[in-house]
Amino acid sequence: MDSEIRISLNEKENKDITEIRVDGVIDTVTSSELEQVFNSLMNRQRYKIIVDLSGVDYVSSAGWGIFISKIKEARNSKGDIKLVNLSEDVYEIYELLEFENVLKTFDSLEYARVDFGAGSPNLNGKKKAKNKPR
Amino acid sequence: MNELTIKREIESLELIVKLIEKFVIQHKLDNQTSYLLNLSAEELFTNMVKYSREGTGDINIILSFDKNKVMMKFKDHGVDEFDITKAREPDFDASLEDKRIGGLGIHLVKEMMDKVEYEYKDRTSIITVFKNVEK
Repeated sequence: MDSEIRISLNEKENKDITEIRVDGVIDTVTSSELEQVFNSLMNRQRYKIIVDLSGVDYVSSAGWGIFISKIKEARNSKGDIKLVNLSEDVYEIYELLEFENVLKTFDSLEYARVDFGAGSPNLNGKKKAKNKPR
Repeated sequence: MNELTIKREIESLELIVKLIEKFVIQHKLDNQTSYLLNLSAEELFTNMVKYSREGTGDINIILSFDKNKVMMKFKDHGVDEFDITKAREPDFDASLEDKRIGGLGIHLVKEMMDKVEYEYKDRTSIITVFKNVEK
């Protein structure tokens, strides 16, 4: 397991929503990079954030701590942080930490966009998943 | 037995990961056990670096496997006593605003491992965790 992280942003899909795609591991060493990305987004008043974790197979408490501290800031400004595509291992830790009532997870980007109120024509009438894993 | 002595700095995590990787291959352990050992090691070691800055010595890590049980031991020298088995649990019922971020790591270790022991002698904190493995 290499302690590396790659982060890319997509702000084009929906104007007020930022999608962050993370690949690699979110641990004590790499989590500061993720924190900097959140800080820079919030400095630009972008508080509606979806984090796509499909390329992440490891999140330690350092990473979870950042999600929890940043979500407070986001919600204070009428935004939120939603996680999508959690791997089985990452979802297990999410459950152990009892974050179900704090941090919403979805099994696709589209479901998370809909939860932000951004309609998506691609759902084909499927019900939105609320707090649904993977 | 696999043993490692490392400096009290976050950069040493890389060496711990390598030690666990070698140990997992040596004992043919599954991916899930490897994942849980890595995560526990990171949480325990990071706590030692963050909260025992006054620690005077290096930190020893010992890994062993016997009777389908993994044992991972951390010896943290020259530090004050902090019994993680008695540490306050994060308040999961608190509202988001009051939710404590501290303590998540220790809580995770207790949940992931089958047994956690703490011993303190001669200003050395010894944390030992056990994980049962199905083989």
